[in-house]
Amino acid sequence: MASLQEQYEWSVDVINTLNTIGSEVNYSANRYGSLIESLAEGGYPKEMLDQLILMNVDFQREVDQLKIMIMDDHAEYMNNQRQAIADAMD
Amino acid sequence: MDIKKVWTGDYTSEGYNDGLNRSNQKSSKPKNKLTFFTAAHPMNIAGWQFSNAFKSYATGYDTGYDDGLRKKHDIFQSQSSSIGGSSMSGGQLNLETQLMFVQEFNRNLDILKDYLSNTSETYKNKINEANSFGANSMAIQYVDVLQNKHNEFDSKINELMSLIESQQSRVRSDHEDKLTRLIEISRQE
Repeated sequence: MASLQEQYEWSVDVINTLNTIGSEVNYSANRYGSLIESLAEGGYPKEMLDQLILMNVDFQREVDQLKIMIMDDHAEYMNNQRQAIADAMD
Repeated sequence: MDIKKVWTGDYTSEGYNDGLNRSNQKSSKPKNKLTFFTAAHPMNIAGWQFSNAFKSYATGYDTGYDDGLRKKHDIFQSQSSSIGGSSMSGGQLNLETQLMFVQEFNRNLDILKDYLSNTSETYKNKINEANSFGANSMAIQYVDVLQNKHNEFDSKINELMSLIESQQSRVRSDHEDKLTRLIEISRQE
């Protein structure tokens, strides 16, 4: 059986993986928005820009749900398990 | 922020002020309703009354923007031109540059899709490492719950991928193809 130390390190790895996913998804969402912003600043045709803005709204809504799932649910669950392993090590 | 505003999702006045400021600046700028995301409360952005919040903001923004232009004695209209039925602001990006921006936008969505499909696999592999810890380990007790969470995550990723693919298809047909046609027309003139 793996030592508690190994299990603890695994739990930290899972949390780090979730944090990395969360921050990368966040970066992608910002990048999506800033590309539309560049088009807006560049005088992109209004009706075409409006379509992109609405697409961005749909996209951000989905990404927000994903971020909440990763950071508020999965990471919180794993953080509690990490703490339980840490308590068992003491 | 006023809790009543969060509850009703009425951002007409914020939209009006942002639209007015946008068009009333020294150098006219095109509409940019992305400012909604800084004006609105996170709860409204996350989902509560989202549709109403964005619509009311957009309506107020349009009114404010028009009023701003009137204040400037219709300067924006006199600087505008029309190419292929699409309004363009004068002195700004040409069609080739706009096409390049849109193509970059679509390429970024490709990168994002690749990234999303990799994240699900990485997450799954990380969970499965615990299977080698032994049946009596503490970590093995968490694997079932984590696998269920991963399935939920994977399903959300698939939804997001489908959304991105449909958006890419729209960007190609409604934007890239249209801009390419406009470029061809402008070259023939």
